[in-house]
Amino acid sequence: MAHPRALFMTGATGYIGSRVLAMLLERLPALEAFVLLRESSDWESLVRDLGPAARRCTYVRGDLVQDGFALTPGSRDLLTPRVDLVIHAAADTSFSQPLDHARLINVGGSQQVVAFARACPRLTRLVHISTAFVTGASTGQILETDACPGPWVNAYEQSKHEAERAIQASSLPWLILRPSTVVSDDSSGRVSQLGAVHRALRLYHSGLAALMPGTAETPVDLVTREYVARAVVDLSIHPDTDRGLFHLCAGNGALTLGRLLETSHRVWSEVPEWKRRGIDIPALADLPTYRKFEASVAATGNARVRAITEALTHFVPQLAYPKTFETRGADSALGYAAEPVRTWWPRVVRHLVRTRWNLELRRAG
Amino acid sequence: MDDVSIRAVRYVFAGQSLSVAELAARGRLGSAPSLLEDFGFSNVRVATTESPYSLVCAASRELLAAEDVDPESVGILLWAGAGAPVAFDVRPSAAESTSSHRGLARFRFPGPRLQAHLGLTGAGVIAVEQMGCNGLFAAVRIARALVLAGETDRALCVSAEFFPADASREAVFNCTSDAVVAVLVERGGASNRIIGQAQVTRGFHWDPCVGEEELLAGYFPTAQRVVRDILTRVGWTADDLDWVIPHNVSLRSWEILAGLLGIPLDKVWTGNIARYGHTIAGDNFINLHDAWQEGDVGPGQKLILFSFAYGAHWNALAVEA
Repeated sequence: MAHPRALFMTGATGYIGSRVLAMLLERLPALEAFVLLRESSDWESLVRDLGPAARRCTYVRGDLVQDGFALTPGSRDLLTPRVDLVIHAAADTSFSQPLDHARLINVGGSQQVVAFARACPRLTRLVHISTAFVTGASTGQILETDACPGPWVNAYEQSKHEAERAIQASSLPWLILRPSTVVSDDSSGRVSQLGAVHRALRLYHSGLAALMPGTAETPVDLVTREYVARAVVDLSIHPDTDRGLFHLCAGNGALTLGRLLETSHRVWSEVPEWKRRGIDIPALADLPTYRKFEASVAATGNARVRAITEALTHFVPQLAYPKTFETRGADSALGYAAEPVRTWWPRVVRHLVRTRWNLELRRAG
Repeated sequence: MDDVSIRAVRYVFAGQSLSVAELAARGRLGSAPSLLEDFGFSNVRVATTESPYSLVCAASRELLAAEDVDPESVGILLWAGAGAPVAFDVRPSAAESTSSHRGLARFRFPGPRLQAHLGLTGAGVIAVEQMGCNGLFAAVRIARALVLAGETDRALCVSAEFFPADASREAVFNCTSDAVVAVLVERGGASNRIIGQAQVTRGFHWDPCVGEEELLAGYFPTAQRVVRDILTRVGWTADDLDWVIPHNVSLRSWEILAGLLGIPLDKVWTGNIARYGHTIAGDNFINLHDAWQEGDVGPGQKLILFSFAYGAHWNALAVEA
């Protein structure tokens, strides 16, 4: 397969998508990129981030969930004859939304992407960035071929599963890439976007995390954005991958929940003021016990603790379904694997404390 | 012989029994009575004409008589809980307590008075304070250490603490009774051998008026750790346990803690939660007594007594019944 010459991308301003776009433009000097955006303000910040490479990018105003992205006929006529690579990185990643809302962007958007890709005669590849957690409440070894019968822990997981089905149902040359939880920009430990894991860690650091579902042996699969973006780029332009499904995960390099909590505790204990507080590692519970805890908190009316518990309820129950993601296919196609979590996790937790969960970064920004 | 046992327990509750609904009607609860009933509480005992001292005196006298113990054979008297002068007061208000702390009255200590009252002429008196609901745990722990150290063969531990008159009877969704407990600890003994103990104090939470959420969040992880620690220390597993003898806090919280410990709830002796609710004096020892009386606990059974107290203290005791 020759290198793509014209990329159409959704989610190009997102945490993963922005890095994928920057890498692709750097890797392929002849590549021209068209990015679907709703707001011109997003375009301005993208141009700033891309630097000189932004000259090869074109802003396409549209709406992911509207028919034909609500593109003008002129835009559509410009794009479809030229685009040979579509990367669909846009998603609503909120865990707490109801299923209808999650479907709107994650399923509806994917259906629009498929329709658009079908209209591109030069299309060589449709790359869909999914999530490893489409596997929901499945446990054990998750193969890169696994279908996902459900149930799911939250609407995000289910909607991303349904999005995969929409992509797979097309006759297009699709690639589905499933990253696990991205928690750091790279192995330096820098975190420029906070997610559910960071918020849960903040509660733990504040001594407000009482219980978590899972056991000390539960694998926690975490990856860096740098690994995921590099893998997305490499697989998107890989000469030999046609249709396929790949886990962009730590796999056997995942950290166990026990080690993750202990390591975080050890690193934070380097600060005497924190150590003096005597904060314990959260108790690990089976799911029924965790649900009793949630119900008890809901009944006792302490507004702050209730808000904290509610914030975790759409995310942490995933830990009650221990799973290891097979990465053989991705590792083999890429020629490299994700760096084991244990090698960079201490730097992440140290970074979070040092920046007070990016408070200083936000103030600076 | 290195064995130290809890030979006997006696307790006395205050006379007036009030239901959760009656407490609510008198404005003595913070939460809805239905919630507290759902959490397992039904009745509490409230002192009206009794002082902590008068009840301790009665419980101790009864214990020594029932066990046929010569008062002069008691080498140590450990007093936990209410100190001077509130131990002698009937329904003291805060203002009365403050005024009676002035002058020499502040040195009218209940422990020495009890020693004289009961004729424990050979007993040195030690008072345990600042342990909240774990005062009796601390007293029993000290008694055991003194027996093991050869300082005495027999110690009487007493604990008394009432809520102030007209104070709310609820603390962190737990309903509380006024009670006193007396425990006889001695060398050897045929039952209730103390195998080991564990304690964690997190002084960062010395002030329960500050950072309540953090303290509540820390309750379960530290409780789990303390119980696991003592099991490891005495070489038992959760499966080995016949009973957990609890402090009488919310049944919901025991459902959660039992789940965390991998212990079925029916192995947590919860019979007294509805009957009496919580006491500051020493739920676990009251429950140990009643579990024996009701035939639930029998010789040789493996027991863990666990309790939490503001301070903040987590305590556990391993006992072979």
